[in-house]
Amino acid sequence: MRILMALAGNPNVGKSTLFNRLTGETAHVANWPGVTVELKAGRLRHHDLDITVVDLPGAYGLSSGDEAESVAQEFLLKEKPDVVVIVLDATSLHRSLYLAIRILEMTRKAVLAVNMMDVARRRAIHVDLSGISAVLGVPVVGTSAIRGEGLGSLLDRAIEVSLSKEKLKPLKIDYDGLDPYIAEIERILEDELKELPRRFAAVAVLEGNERILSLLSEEKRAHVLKIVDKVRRELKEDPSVIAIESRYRFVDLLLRDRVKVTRLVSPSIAKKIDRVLLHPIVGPFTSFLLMLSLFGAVFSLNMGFPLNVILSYAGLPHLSSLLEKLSLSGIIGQFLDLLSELLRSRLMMISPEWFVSLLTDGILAGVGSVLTFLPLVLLVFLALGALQDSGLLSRIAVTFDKFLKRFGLSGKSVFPAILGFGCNVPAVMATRAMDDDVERTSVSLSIPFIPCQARLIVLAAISSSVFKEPVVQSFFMMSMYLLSLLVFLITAKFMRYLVRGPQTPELLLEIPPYHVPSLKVVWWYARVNTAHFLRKAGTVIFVVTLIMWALLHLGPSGYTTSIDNSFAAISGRALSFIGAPIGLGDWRIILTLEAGFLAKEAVLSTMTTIAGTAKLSEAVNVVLSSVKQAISLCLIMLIYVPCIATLSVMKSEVKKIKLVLVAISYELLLAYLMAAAAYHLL
Amino acid sequence: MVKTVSLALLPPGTVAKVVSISGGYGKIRRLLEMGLSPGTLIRVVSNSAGPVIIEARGVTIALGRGLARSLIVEVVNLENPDGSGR
Repeated sequence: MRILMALAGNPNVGKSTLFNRLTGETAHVANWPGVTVELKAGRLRHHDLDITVVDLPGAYGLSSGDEAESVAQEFLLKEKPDVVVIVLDATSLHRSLYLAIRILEMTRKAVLAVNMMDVARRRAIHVDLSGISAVLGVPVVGTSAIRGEGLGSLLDRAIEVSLSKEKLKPLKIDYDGLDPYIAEIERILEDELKELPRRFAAVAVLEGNERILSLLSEEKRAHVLKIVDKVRRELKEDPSVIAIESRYRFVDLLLRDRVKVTRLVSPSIAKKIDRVLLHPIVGPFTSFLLMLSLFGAVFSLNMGFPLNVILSYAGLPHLSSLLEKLSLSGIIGQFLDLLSELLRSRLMMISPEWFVSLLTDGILAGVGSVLTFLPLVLLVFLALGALQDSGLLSRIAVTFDKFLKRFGLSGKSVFPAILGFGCNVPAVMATRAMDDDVERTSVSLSIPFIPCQARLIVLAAISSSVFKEPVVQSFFMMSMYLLSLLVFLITAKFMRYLVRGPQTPELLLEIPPYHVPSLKVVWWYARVNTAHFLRKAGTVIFVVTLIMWALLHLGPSGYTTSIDNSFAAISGRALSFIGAPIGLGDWRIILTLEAGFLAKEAVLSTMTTIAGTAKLSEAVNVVLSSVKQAISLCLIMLIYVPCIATLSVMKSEVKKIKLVLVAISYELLLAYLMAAAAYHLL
Repeated sequence: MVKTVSLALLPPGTVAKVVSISGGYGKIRRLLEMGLSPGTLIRVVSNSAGPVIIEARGVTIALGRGLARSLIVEVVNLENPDGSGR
């Protein structure tokens, strides 16, 4: 099947550059039936689809006055392309959008390419692409045809639109005073111009569009012209003037909150900041502190960590637990606990126990785990957006480039790596700030080796129950952390090798001028990414949580309250032979690891359930009988598989399920080998 | 005589003109897309251990050392920015 794609746009918006980029050598001049002039056309293949691209003459509108405009209009009406790519200039959207809405009034099989994004960035002009897309009801993609930015996703969107069977009504613009007359003409046109959208045709003839008027019968044309005269008399203005004003009013309204020009920082201050940030020694240190404090604040606000650890070390355990309770995830958790208690007590009498458990431990817990991630993802992207918008992000990437290059990574991977210590989920998502696809994939797949806060809790609980001396405890924790980091760096290098081969990414990065981050721009960035998380990862997290509920609460005899009889315990027993060589032959330990797949904290809660005690250190000592076992379990727990939430974002970011499966097998194998080595050598 | 050197060897503050790009097609294309075509005047902002930072066409750009090495330039006097006559 062949897709016909038309490129439309004002002159000088980079339309020809885009055309040449897309079609390369295949460009030629072609005749189209019904169109009097020759048009440039070319071919390209994308995702195994043949696409013919036609470059329409640059036009400012569609009213037939001008040759270029009438050719563009004629082509769109006659050829009915499968998709129209409307090219806009990001630095003068106002004018570009006028043409765009003219075309959208005719057809919504269109994609907007907001071009020259690189120039806009340099001038600190920000555009809320998703906001514009929401109003116009067509995809909007940011591109830089000169640099080749965004062309892949432009083609993806264009193909989606052209293959879509959905019948979308053309865009409806409010024409104020003209609307009653438009309605009147629509009635006159009842059985004529059937191939045109009714409202578009009515407005066109009202505006005196010669081409469309000529398609009418003598009698109807006279009727329409009478109405035009009536408008001139009654509104004391030509209908086309009113129509144009209405469209520009629509554009004004559309852009009012969606384009933001931020203030640049004065060059002398910028120079001073750069002298510190780009300094070979002071720079990395400052960047590191900056990120640590920013992300530290974000994580503390969200779940108390790491400020809670600092507070309890400072001898303020009350403040520390208060912080945990008042953190966002603390509040959400308490609310969900309350809700689940309430449901339980209300439903206990009137419905079977399994139903209550499914509702509270399954569905509510699933919703809960998505909900607790939501503020975290939002906050992290707000912070990341602020770094990006201010111009700090690219400088930080530059400072870390030298160190990370040894591991086949570029400076930009420092963000996901740092975020990973708090939570792997936003860390994997933060790889979106990287431009190199190979690096994005390899970093996403390696992130799970960075020990997140949940694993820290498990590690701390085990080490404090197994080792007596605080010095040994700290030494143990530190070595586990260092080991994980090393595994992360080596894996990143290995994954890169796996995805493409040995070359290291070379940094080539434009360093934008500093500007004061705009709250609005940062909010756009965070909103888009949070919505993506909710749509792509949220559903997977929810479904897998339900499956895990079934494994932990159902057994051969149906619903069971005792975890001993569950499918999870049965599989734990079946799998215990695998654990035996590394000292983890006890089915109860296997069971905790199965639960750890849900969320790493669940390793601990499962231990307390099995041991039948609320005291953590007791529970750990019931399940684990030797130091060697503890070390083995910690190694496995750190490395074996990330939680389902991380896995689901990995899948949605990497997009290739095969690679995710390779990563999981690698993790399992590596965890097993390391635990075996530790168990037998120590 | 005009001496050409790789960008990676220039100290901060040097003004130079791009002469050529050595390396594969991919490398050449990336640098050209950034506007670093032959004839472009550049100024070295910083050059220490990590990436080289330059200014070209009013934009600040960071280049990894590998890329900096493949950008061949000739040093230009500040007073004589077209680089001729020396």
